[in-house]
Amino acid sequence: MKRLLSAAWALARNDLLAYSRDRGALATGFLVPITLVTAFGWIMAYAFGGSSGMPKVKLWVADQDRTEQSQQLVERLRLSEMLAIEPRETAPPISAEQLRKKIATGDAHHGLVIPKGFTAESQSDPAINMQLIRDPGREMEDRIVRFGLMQSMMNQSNGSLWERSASRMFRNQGMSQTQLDSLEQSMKGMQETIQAFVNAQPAATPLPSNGTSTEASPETETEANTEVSAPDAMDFMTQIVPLDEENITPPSRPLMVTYQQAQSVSGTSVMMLMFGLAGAGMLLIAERDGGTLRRLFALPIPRESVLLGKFMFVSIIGLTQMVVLMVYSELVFRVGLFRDPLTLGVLVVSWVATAGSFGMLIATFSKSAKQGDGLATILILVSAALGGCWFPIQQMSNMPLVMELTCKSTMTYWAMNGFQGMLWSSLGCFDTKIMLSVAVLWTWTLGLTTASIYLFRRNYVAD
Amino acid sequence: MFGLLGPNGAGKTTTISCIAGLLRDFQGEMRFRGEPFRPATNIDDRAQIGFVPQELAIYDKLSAEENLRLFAKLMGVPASEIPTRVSELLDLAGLVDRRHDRVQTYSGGMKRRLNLAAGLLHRPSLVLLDEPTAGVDPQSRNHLFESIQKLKMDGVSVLYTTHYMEEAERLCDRIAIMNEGRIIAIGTPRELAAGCGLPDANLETVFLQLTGRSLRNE
Repeated sequence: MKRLLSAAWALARNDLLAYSRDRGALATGFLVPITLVTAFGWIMAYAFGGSSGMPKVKLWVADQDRTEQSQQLVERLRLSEMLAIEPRETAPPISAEQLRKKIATGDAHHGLVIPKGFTAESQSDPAINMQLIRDPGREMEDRIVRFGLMQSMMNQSNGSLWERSASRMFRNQGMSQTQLDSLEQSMKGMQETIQAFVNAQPAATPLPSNGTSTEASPETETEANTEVSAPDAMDFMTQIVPLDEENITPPSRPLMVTYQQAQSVSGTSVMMLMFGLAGAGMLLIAERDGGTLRRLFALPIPRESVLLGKFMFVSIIGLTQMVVLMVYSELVFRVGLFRDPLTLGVLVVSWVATAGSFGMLIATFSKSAKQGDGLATILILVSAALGGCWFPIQQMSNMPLVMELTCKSTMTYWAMNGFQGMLWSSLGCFDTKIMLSVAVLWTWTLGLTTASIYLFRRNYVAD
Repeated sequence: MFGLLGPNGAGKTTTISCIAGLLRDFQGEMRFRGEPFRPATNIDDRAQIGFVPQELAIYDKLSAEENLRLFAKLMGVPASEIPTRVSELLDLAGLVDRRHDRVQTYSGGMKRRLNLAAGLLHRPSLVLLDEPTAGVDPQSRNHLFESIQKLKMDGVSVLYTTHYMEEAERLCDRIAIMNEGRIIAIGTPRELAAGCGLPDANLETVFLQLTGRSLRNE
């Protein structure tokens, strides 16, 4: 037993010694996790609600009422821990039409219109409701918006807006005036209890979506949402704020695609291609270590043809990988990837070129395959985290400017921006957003390729 | 056929790398058959060289025929001549029967023979052989000797490095002995022995006499 332990300890010491002298292994073992924890902690904190730890969802508000009470309501909405109200206080106000356009082009997903006369003490019949204009594909945000709205309404004017809305809802349901008067008395006490309860609710509580989410674009569909249908208290409370709903979906988005699916397909494709091509680029290191590179360099061919050959190889692998991923995603998720083949082709080729040149840079920079693997892993994961492969890039608007700029400085951000623009907002390759993404990706490609050629000459073509 | 001998770290592989064009930062100039020779920067000069590195610089996942076709194409052999050249060299390497098998299934000797064949596809004027027989069995070594002697008979210039004295004695017309980056003796095996004052000694004795018996740590 003693001999066994002694031998085991001697071997373990040997491994520890070798490990401590292997910079690549040390970097992989310690630096990579530390960097990833930092990057993820950072990105998740800001992307999903800052210090509150809750997702802050952007809500555009068009105040057509322009009364003191409506402005107070907007201010109350700004105080919500769940909502990021746009336009910001310093920005010019937005009209209902501008808001609709923003949602139709994918620049916004939820908008609230406070109509003229909404906060008046005595409203005309039929009652004037606030209007919620939304992209029906953004279900997750929809629940948060409704909850945030309800919370703000209840807090506004000590609940007077809520009481009035509730009375209106029950009147519409056919309640007599006598019953309404009786209810009003009860509501005085009940309001305090409910308000305390609502304020204590976490924002991320999953709430059922009320109203039907029918596709309505290019036309729009309006429906009065005043029916209390679901039995649970949350549903009741979200519906007690009567809203006229208008759904706007970009015309060519498939009806069943969800934001999460579009995010998942783009994010996974973008990240996995980087892994694939970085791995393929390692063949250059394998050729150097195996000795074939010396023979190739002694042949009557330009040395750079070796690098170009590898780049062509990784590009073909990348294109094949992307086509397989896209076809599979379309077959399984029906996200409408092939409804605009030209834009898809432009984006795929651009991203393959960028990811391929990234793989070449890793290969030409690394002194060994182990170092290359570690370096590629850390760069890809950090880049994927910052670039929006794992969270909606639209959340970046909640981040501090420095953080937002950091995210936008990654190549993955621009790939995601392009794919999301095509998939979610149905933008074509001649749209400025897509063109900008493509231009930035090719700029990255040019920069990475130039650096690869320099490193190839320095590290591979011996002097 | 010219042999380059020397202990470990003497500079044999560095010398061969300079001639193969793998190193360009060195002093002095090279001439081949009287003409300036700059293979590091001149592709035409590299076309005259058949480089057989010490490592097995062939692709394991390809067959012998696929390897030879690839290198023939890279060496600029006309497409119409490639099948003939590949067949000739498969025959020279004794790999005709295994031409379609992946190299990863070959023995060490078979790989060495293929490694040599891959450097001869374009019929070079100068063949650089960097320890071509390292780690092979006597049968394969003998086959390699025959192949190299055939090159010699065809009038090809061969620069040969090895640690095996009997190989150099058997194959090379002239030999240079290197030590610590310098040529310390040059001549036929007989001239080298005479130069050391050991006219009846074999090459190994001469070598140890010139380079010393101390162990090399490089």
